[in-house]
Amino acid sequence: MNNHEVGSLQEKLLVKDMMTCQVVTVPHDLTMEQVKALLGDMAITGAPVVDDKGRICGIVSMFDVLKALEENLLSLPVAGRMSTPVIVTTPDSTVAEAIALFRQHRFNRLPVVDGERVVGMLTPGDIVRKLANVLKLDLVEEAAGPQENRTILQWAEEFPVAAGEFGQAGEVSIAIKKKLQEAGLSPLVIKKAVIAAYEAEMNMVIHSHGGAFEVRMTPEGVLMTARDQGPGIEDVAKAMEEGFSTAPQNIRRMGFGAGMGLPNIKRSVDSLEITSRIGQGTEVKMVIHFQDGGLNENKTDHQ
Amino acid sequence: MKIKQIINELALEVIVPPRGDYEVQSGYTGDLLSQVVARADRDFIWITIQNHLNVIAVACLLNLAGVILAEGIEPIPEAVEKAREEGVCLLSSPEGSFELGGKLYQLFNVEVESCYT
Repeated sequence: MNNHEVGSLQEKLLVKDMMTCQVVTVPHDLTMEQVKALLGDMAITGAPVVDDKGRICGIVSMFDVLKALEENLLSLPVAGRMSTPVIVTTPDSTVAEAIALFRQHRFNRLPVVDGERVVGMLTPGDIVRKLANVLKLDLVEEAAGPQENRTILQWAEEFPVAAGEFGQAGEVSIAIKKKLQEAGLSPLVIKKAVIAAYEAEMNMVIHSHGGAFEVRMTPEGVLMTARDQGPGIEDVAKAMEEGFSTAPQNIRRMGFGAGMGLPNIKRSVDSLEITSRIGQGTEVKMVIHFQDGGLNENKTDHQ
Repeated sequence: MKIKQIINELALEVIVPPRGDYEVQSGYTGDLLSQVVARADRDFIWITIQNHLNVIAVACLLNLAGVILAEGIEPIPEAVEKAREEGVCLLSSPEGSFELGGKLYQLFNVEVESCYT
């Protein structure tokens, strides 16, 4: 795939080409309890909220429901708990414009409106699938429910990590996060991957002579491998202990070296393997399995 | 609670403004980055005295609602630039983490109570 090709496609393809047309909307006077039931029944994770005249006035997600549940406020009307103002797109907007909106804001679904009426819904997953189809990329069919065609793009990318470069530290994790978001993964998978990636990257920056960070996406999950060129960990079991750190004072003053990095990784991933040879280097292999296909919003808005 | 309400109520100096008046879910105070990475979450506001580029990286990775630098800390220019680039709302206050956290907690509690009445 070449980037230029994808870029020009994004300009040519329109939102209406890839949006989901059948959208469940939530009347603004439902309680959060009713919203919870509705989202559950329809097996979706979010929906636009509409007023008496069917005009969009907000958007509500399972996250809002969870929040209300936690706060014991499920009896309140959705109108006071939904997110506003709602960012929308139109059927004739280009995909590039929609992608810019996804990048700019922190959400995973974009209502498509004509006038004030909701005519569709767009998720990053929709865009990835459509672009992949158009580009005839190597797509792996996921074992999916009968109602949908789940697809995950397989890819791998390697990022160099420089030793001692605190200025750039975190850049690799940010780049990985963006890639996973573009792939349409669920926020939970992204959060786990990001915590593990950040800690592993910081470890390489602080302790190693530099190395590389590889991220590989498969239909089963995300595999991240941090490989450095030494000096190696003397006692891996000890390094895994919470609070154990060999970081120097100046690093600790910056808020690192609390001995929490590896324990944080362990809590975030499904499998962690560390192999280390003194004088040669360390390899940290981290795997996050997809529980339900891993794609964000896959069930959302597809009925 | 909206980010702009927090900025007003706590009289925060805005170094990099928020992109819109979005909802802040909660807050976290801490200077150990691994602790913050493990405990803070999406749409949290983070109070810290750390002042380097990694603060922005953490805020960006976690999708934090914003960062409040306490104790009158002036962010290094690289951090400001990075925050702008990544769209991280960067705020500061002459007050300490304890005072800021206390006020913020109070604000959130008042909001929850007003939902019941």
